[in-house]
Amino acid sequence: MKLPPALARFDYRTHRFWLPIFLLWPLMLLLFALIFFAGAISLALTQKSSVQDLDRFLSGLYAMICASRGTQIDVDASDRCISLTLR
Amino acid sequence: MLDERRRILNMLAEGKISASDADGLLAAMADTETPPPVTEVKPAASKSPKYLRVQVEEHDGDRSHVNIRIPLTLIRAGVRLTALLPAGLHDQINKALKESGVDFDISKVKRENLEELVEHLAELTVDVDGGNGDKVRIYCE
Repeated sequence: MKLPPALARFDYRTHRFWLPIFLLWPLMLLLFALIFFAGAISLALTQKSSVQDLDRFLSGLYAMICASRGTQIDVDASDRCISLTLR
Repeated sequence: MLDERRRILNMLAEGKISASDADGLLAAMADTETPPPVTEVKPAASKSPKYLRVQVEEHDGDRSHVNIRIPLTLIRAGVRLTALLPAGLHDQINKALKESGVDFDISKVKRENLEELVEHLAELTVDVDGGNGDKVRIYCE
């Protein structure tokens, strides 16, 4: 089963922070539910696309969030060093 | 096989057969020799890359280094998501691309083409070497 990133490692100079993103998962679920209901209402009013399109969009969005695991950004300048890794 | 060859040579040395006969016999033996079995060497399965790496080195006064690692699955998922764009948006995107100097019809791009594009991204390597020591490198690993 695909899961969204659970942890983010943030390095700033010599400091390292572990951010527990998994605590935001319920919030994300709520956001997805809100998008789904808002989309369903707009579909009922406009009828420009189907519920399948909305479902495909939401599943695609979820897959994209899950696929962001492993993303790493390092910026190493002379006076500061910042790094962000999603795990 | 070596014994037969030695026997022919002994016969030649003893004078039982002439040199031409020995030559003919050795040639006939060479024809009947079976070639050694050829073992099929299978190429090692190529390890498919997982990440797109973007490295930027800048030497503008102070030395700075940017290193970005993006999972190819993220690019693939993003590409799949763009395939869901409504048809009405295609004209706007085409117009914006044309204004930027890219004459490209995005509505002609199908999902299969996008998948193929991401597949071939694995073979991509871009090296830009600036004159003042700046370097940009894009590759998959």
